[in-house]
Amino acid sequence: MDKLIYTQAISRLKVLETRLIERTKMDRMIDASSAEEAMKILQESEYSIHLGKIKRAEEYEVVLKDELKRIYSLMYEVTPVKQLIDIMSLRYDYHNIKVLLKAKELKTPLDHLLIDVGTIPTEKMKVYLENEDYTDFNPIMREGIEKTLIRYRNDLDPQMIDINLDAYMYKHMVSQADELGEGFISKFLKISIDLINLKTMFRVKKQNKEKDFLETVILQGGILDKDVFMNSLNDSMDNLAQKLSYTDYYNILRLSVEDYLKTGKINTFEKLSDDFIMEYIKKSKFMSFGPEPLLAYLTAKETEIKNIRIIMVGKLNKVAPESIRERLRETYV
Amino acid sequence: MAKLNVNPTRMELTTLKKRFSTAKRGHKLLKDKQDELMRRFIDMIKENNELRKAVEEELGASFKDFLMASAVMSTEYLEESIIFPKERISLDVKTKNIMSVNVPVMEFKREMEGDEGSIYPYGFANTSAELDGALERLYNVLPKLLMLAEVEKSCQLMADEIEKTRRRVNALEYMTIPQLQETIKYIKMKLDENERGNITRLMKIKSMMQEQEQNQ
Repeated sequence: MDKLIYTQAISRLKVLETRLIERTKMDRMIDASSAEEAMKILQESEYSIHLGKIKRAEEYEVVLKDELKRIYSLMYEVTPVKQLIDIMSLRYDYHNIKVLLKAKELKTPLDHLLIDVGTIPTEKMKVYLENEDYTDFNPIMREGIEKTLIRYRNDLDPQMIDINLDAYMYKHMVSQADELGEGFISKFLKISIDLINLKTMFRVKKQNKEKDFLETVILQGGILDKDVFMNSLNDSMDNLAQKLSYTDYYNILRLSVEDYLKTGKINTFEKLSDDFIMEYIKKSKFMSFGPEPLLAYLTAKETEIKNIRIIMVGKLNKVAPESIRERLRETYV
Repeated sequence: MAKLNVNPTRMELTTLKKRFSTAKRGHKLLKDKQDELMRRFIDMIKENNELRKAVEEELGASFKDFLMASAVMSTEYLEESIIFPKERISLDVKTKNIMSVNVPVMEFKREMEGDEGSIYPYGFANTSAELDGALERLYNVLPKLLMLAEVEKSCQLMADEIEKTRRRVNALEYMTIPQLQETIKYIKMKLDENERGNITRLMKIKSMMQEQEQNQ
């Protein structure tokens, strides 16, 4: 595809990139004396437009949600290729599907859990799922919903709803990326899938589940083959990093395993994998053509929202600054 | 002390005496019951305290993990993940008799006994591992939490029973028994008085009759 069609969007985003919250500002928020003070620092950023809506720092979620919505509508506005943004917003579609399916099975309305950012507006999605009318859906999505319902009704296991839809979500994202034919984006997804699979493997290991279960939860379409995970499940943590030393993930695996052996927690891996993705995304910083900067900006923004959430939750609950800093994700700028 | 409002008759005295001995026996029995209840109650309170501390500590740790999970996941994602629980627990409540107090005995059955890894109701792609930790801790604290409920309820019931018993003991000790004693004393005195009056009257009649005999 012609890489030049993105030039206008990129120049616009380059300006917006300068308005991202940089690390020093995040540090100031962490060191703020209270949650209210931290909120005030946000006043100096793009978030200020949403701050008028809330009265207390406890309502920070409203701000983050509004910002997320704003970013997606902005991205849809600037992008010349809608599909590109669709790849990222599919996550919210699938989230909404999960919510609606669970609401249906539980027979309670869960509308407050819907996130109106996906490719299909939530109101429409509600009507579609209520009438079991999937004709307007992408075939992969339709298959996902139908298969999920069959599996769920088989053994009434709510975990299956999530697991199945997660699998279809990544399948859907990968197929969209393939259609787009952009190597950068496909690799971005592959890395994400690998990292999720690695995390999943750690978690399954910790939960003492058997191989069959791991097989159902490992996502397809990453760089690492499914067998790699299947064969590593019974390895000890030390061996694991060694065994995967040929991959790009050796470094983060080594560090995470070290930390895991000390604390028994996997959160270092979560942080490091987010950072790994950020490093990958940063490569697009100096690209002036192609879709990469769009994806980068969106990821940067989502990470920023995540970071603000970490800080706000930490601040509201009086978590020690070091503890917050430890969990903070690498920023784009 | 006020005496009871009864007729000072011999029959009444017998009934009162019977009541008095019953009250005394009742008082002794109740006093013993109270002591034993107290002893058990203190044991239970100790157990309760320890359990509560342990449970609070573990719950605190779990909430801490949960807090961290909520920091790295958005509220919607977090809630979606856990809104549909996977595990079902059935609870069976029976009662046990401790010193005539019916205390509950709770027994619960997990449907997924022995398969602790299956309690997580969510997928892995969008959830944080910290949520696993929080859930695991909650899962592990549940038996203790239930035990705590059992012990705490028992303590409450026993405290009620102790209060009731104490009131009865006190009522017997400070009201019924003194009243009975007083009344018995009163009747006895009244009867003695009557007896004496009778004797005096008889003596008077005797002397009157003797006088009459002499005059004839």
